[in-house]
Amino acid sequence: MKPNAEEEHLTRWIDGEISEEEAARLLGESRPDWRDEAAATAALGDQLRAAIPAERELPYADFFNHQIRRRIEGDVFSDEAIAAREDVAEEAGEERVTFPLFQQLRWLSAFGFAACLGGIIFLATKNTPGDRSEIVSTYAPDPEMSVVTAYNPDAEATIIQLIGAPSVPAEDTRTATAKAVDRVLFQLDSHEIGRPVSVIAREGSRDDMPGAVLVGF
Amino acid sequence: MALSVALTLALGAAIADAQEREKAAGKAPKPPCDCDVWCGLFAAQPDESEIDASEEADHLLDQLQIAFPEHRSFRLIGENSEKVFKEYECWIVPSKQLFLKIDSLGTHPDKSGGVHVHLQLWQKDHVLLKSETILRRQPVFIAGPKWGEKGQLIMVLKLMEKTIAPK
Repeated sequence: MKPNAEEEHLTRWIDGEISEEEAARLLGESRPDWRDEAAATAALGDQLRAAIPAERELPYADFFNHQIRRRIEGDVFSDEAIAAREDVAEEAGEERVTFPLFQQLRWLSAFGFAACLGGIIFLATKNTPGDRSEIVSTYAPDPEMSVVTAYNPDAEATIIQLIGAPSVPAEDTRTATAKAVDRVLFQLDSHEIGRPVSVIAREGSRDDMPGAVLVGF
Repeated sequence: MALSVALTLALGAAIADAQEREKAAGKAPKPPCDCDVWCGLFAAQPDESEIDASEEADHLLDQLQIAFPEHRSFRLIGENSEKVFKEYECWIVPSKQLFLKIDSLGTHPDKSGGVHVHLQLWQKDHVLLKSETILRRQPVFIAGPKWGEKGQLIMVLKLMEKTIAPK
């Protein structure tokens, strides 16, 4: 039940919130017996305090504290509370800040952006192929052979190292192009490829060249 | 007599047919050329008994000496240069002992003027190495079989300058 205005004034006087003169001005006409009523209320309070111990242990104190904490958190950090504060700030003429922490650490974000940009430029420069030949994959059909690839920056060359290839006698290596001149059987100028096509004879059963080689194709 | 006349007519018809084919081939568009490659076969030796004094190959020899410090002399024993056509296989034979088959996979999409090729290194009648390579301005050295007692055959493959797109 909601107290009326007189009861409220009387309660405020009993609690010491208003002076006696103020209480007399507010209650004097409507409730002339306000002093007696206040005395009766004070006596009732004294009787109650005398009958009930002044300190009682609160039942379920943890649950009670938890509920109070949740209520406080809800009042301070809930979306409604934040929206209400923002509305108040807008009314006060303050500019709304979307990411307040980002605004505070603006210098740090600028530094991070510069560092990322530098990293991207470095990686792009590093991965630029430039003039360097590139070995995508290698395979040696002979299981006794292995292949090692590397790039030598001092030599500016890409190196494929064949390990375990059969050795070649030094005296057996001659240029086929020089030797092939005497072995041309037939030659035809091809307009299609713009180069002459020559058929070279096989020397004999001991010749390890293919039976016919297209020279200049 | 009749036989000789028949042979003459047949030979004439064959020659005419060959000429027509050649004319037709002359009208056909040339296949796209992806690059010109130069291939040299060097014999590397750990001693200085044989030195190639060619001034044109000076830079290449310097590169070889840096790449293979265990050898002190590099003698060019065979070289060959070829055009590499797309969708055609290309044989580069600097030596009958060691030669290359190149299949062009087309120009590489980057702006370095690289050409994507599939390489096969042959020694006599068998394949030593298969490799997928992107050829650019800098050469590829293939250190191959031992040569003689202490030497080694090194094949050098590089794009010729006229193929490389200017930067």
